[in-house]
Order: sequence, then structure tokens, then C-alpha cells
Amino acid sequence: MRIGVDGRKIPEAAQRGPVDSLDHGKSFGMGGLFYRTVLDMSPTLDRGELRAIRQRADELGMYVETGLGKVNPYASPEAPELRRAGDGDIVLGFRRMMEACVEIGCTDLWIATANYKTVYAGKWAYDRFRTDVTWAEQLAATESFLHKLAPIARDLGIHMNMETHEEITTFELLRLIEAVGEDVMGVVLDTLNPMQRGEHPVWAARRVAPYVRQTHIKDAYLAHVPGGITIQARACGDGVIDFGEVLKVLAAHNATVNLSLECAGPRDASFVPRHTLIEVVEPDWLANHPDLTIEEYAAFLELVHTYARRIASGEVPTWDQYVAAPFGYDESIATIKKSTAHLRAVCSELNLPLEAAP
Amino acid sequence: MIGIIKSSLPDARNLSAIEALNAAAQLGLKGLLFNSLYDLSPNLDPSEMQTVRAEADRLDLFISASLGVVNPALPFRGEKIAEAGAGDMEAGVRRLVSLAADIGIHDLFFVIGMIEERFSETVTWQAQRDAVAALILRCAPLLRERGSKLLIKTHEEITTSEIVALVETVGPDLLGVAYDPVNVLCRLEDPVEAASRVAPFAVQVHYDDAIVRFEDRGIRRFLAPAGEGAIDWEAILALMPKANVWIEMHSGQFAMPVFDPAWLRLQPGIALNEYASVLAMAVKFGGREMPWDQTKPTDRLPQAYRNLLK
Repeated sequence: MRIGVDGRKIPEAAQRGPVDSLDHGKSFGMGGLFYRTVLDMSPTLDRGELRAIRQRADELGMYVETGLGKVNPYASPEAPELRRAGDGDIVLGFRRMMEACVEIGCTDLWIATANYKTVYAGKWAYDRFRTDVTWAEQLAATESFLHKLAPIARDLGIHMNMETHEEITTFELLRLIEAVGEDVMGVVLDTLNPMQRGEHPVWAARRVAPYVRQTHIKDAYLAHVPGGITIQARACGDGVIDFGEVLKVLAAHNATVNLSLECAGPRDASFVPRHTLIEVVEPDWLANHPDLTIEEYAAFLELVHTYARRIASGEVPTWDQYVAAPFGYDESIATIKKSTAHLRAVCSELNLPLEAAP
Repeated sequence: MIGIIKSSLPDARNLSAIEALNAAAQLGLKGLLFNSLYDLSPNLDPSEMQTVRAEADRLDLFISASLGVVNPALPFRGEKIAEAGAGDMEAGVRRLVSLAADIGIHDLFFVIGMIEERFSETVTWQAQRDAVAALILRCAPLLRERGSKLLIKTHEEITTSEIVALVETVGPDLLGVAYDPVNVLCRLEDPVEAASRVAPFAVQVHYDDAIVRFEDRGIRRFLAPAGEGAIDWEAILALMPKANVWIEMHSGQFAMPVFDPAWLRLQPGIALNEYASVLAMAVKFGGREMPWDQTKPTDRLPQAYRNLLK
């Protein structure tokens, strides 16, 4: 296992571009970059640009991971670049992206189901609760699209790794893998997101572990607020997640999986503090999660209960304190470093196979 | 009908049956529920019991009583009933049912036991409930002949689904429900959802209020003055408008280790939305200090009167 960082949320990603971001990452000890999509690496899938990234990563001894895009046809219009990549034919667009990835040795490719809508409150931020098209219809359309992509992935030796994104449960994700085939699908485990579906982070990791091929690593602050539970990304070690348990189960199934930190990037001027609200007590929210068991729900609420003591003791800042404090370049880098140190300490204590920084 | 359980009257221990009837009447209540038929007459003397009946009639009060603890599988719990039957629990039930019917009491509520019965390692909880059902069925001819009915109380050890199953096994003509919503919290049931389950069989309700509060390993139930707790009485009474209302000031502060998977496994069938609802009550109460003296249940009587007798 190596520790790297998300290629979109690494500070100064936009200014530096994908190649210089590798050097930047290396400067603070990162073992690789996980670009969200190959279009982030080169919007035109320019082979020269892509090879340059691969070459620099190899020179620096860093990993490069990347991905494709949203595979939910109801979400595709929110990312017109996917269809544009195929000159109007979105399946062709995905084929071209996959071919470009294979050419630079990337055969594990991120996919996801929808986009979080920050401007809406509570469940309306999640496309799971869309009122024009049900989540079941979106899952069915997603499965149908994945069946179209599967033969291409199979030919190219690719795994399309679906993120445990905030709108999908790990139960639903596993059913998609079962339907489409584990030879062409895997999982990007985001350690925080399943909690937005009321899942316990360790239980969720245990469920998907056999299929995890990529990761988004981050910790979470949880607290009761009116209407439910608020969740906020925090540095690893500062939140509720027991990374010892998570990494143990990941390493047991895939000892070379890369741990890509997805820490918050520096806030810009448009930053508006908003609660990410998990409406775990609302009857329609609960009815919308038929796979959630009492035992797991209880374990999840216990995390909130136990964490409240750390908040009360002042060990971790409250939600309000956290959003009120500045969070620029320095804080973003500090969060990455703190997270790295925590993961290293955990791996060292448990004797897990973690490589040293490059 | 709005009445009170004798033990919830101020200074209840020192009140005779006649004094308790007069106390209830003076409070403007319409009924008195005796905690035991022994409260009417320590020797179960029929003429003494008739005297109590006559006084209730004079005061125009409805009277009822509790049978006590009926648990044939755990005889130590039902000693007073067995005593009435010269050592035989079933004979005791028969005698008490008849004595009550003789003075016009045809609804007798009972409980199966205490909270620990559910977790008994000597006799399973299922076996205890089966034994109760069998006993009532053996008493069926007598109950029908006397026009009497037993009421099982939603006590802290039993779920309302288990109660409904018992009623369906025995038959709703023989077994009804005494709905006590503060207790269903101990089984992680939402009091209104639970009410809707037992409503078709509910003959009486037990009026009190409660909250749950987080503690180290879970939540604990505390009693609250009516209107200040988590029980939505308006919704509950709308579901069972004909039920007799008995004021009962509880005192048990039961701990529920709601995060303990082993404990949760002992109660299969908890509904996720009801678990969520009870936990939300704890969140709502928050970390406040307990504002109500739990050792003085009768301190809560004024709020109960105010809410019910308005």
C-alpha cells in the first residue's frame, strides 16, 4: 500500500496542472496521485499530455490512478464532456477514455453514480431522492449502461471501479457488481461516504473489501443537529473512523491497494458553510434504506454518541469552530500531513504492508 | 372514564380501600383501580369486597383491579395469586376472577413479570408467554361464564408485537390490552406506533409521561410530568378513544444498552423507524440534567390532573 492524494483536491491542482501536481505531491511525501478522471489529466485525451504525466510519475516513483465519469444516464447531462469525448456518442466517449487510460497503464478506473447538489438542504442534495426519477430507476439505467461498457472493459482488461459515493449504499453497489461482473467492476472505497447512507464505516469497508481496487481516504466529524446528523470531512485520526480496522480489512484482500487521501482543498472566496445533513430520523429517509439493519444503524449512532465526548472535551473542534477557522493552502497541506502520519502510525502498529514515502 | 391507580394516590400506602375511593372522588376522578384484589380485602372476604363496591357506587366511581403477576412458568412471580388458590396458580386466577366479577369488576389487568424475565436463562421468554396463553385458555369457560376479560399490560419486558400475538392466540374476547406507553420505550418502540398495533384490543390506558436520556452505554428511561415528556397522548388517545384512562405514576428508571449488538439480538424485530424515533427522543432531551425528582412520582400528579381534567 502507498499513501497518495486525490488529484483534484490536492492544493493548487488547477494552477499547477497534472504534471506539476505530481512534483508538488512528492514535495510533501505523497506516493501518488489519483486523478478523478482521465479528462482531468487531458481534456482532449491528448496522448502526449497523458504520456508526460505517466513519465513524470515514473521518474518520481509515484503511482497514477484515474477514472472515467458518472455512469448514471440520468446524471450524464451534468457532465457533457463525457458525451463530447465521443463526439455525441457517450459509449464511444467512454471507449476512447478507456483506451487512453490503458495506453498509460491505467486499468483501474473510477466511476460513480451521481453528483452531490450542495445548494440543496438535507436529502434533496442527494440524487437518490430525486422526484422526477426514482433511485431504483437510476440504478436500473446505470446497470444497463454498465452492461454496454462491460464488453469494452473486458476487451481492454479494465476494471470500472464504482465509488461508494454518497448517494449509493454499499448493498446496492455490490448488487451492481454482481449483475455486471466482478471481472470488469470493482470498488473505490470512500471511507466517509457510506456514513451518509447510515452505514458504519468499518462495516461498509468489510462488505466491499473483496472488490476494493482504489480508495478515497478521509475521516469524518459526526454530530446530532436538528433534523439529523451532520457530517464533515476531517483529517484522518480526528474523526470517527477506526482506520486500524478499515486498513486491516483492505490489506487482507488487496495488500497493494493505494490509499488516496481526499482531504478538503483550500477554500476559495465562494465558500459557504453548509451542513451535510444525514436525515437518519426521518421516516421517508429510513424507508429509503431497506438494506440498513438495526445493528448497523445502532453501531453508526454509537459512533456519534462516542464522538460527542471528544467534541465536548475540546479534543476536536466543533463544526462551527471548524468552518469559522481559516482553511487555505497551509491548512490543507497540514491536513494531508496529519492524515498521512495517522495512517502511517496505524499501519506501523498493525504491521500492515505500507511502503515508505518516495 | 378517567381514574387513578390506587398506588399513585398521595400517601397511598396508608389509605384503606374506602379512604382511597374517597380520595379519588375528592380529586374529581371517576374511577379507582386497585393494585390487587387484596387491597379490597386482605383476606379476600366477599362481604368486605361488597362494602367497597357499595362505597364506590355511593361515590359514583368505576372500579377495576390488577390481578398481579401471571407467569405460570416462573411461579415465584405469582405467589399472591397462588395463595388465593391454596398454592395453585390457576385455581388462584379462577378464584380472583370470580371474586372480582361478584363485585362487578370484569376487566383485570396483569403483567407477566419484570424486565429481567425477558432475558431469563432458566425459562425462555417464549416458554413464559406460551404458559400464560395456555393458562388463560384453560380459564376460558370461566371467563366467558362470568363475562370477564383479562388485560395484559404493555410492561417493560414485553413488546407490543408479542402482546398482539398473545391476544391472537388466546382470542380477543378473553384477552385485551392495558396500554402503558411509557413502558414501550424500554423495548425501543415508538409509543404512537405501538398504540396503533394494540389499539383494536386496548381496553384501558395507563397515563404518565417519560423521556429517554443518553448515558454512557445507551439510554435510560426517566419519568416526566405529563406534557413535558415524549409521549404524544393526543395521538394515542385518538387511536383508542373508548379506552378507560388510569393515571399511574411510574418510577422505574430502566437502562437500555441500545448500542450493544448482543442486547439488540435478544429482541429480534425492532423496527428501524421506531428505534430511530426513540433514539431521537434522547437526542432531543440532550445532555440536560434530570429536572424531575424520580423518587417522588406523586409530584407529577398535578400535571396529570391538569391535562386530563381540563
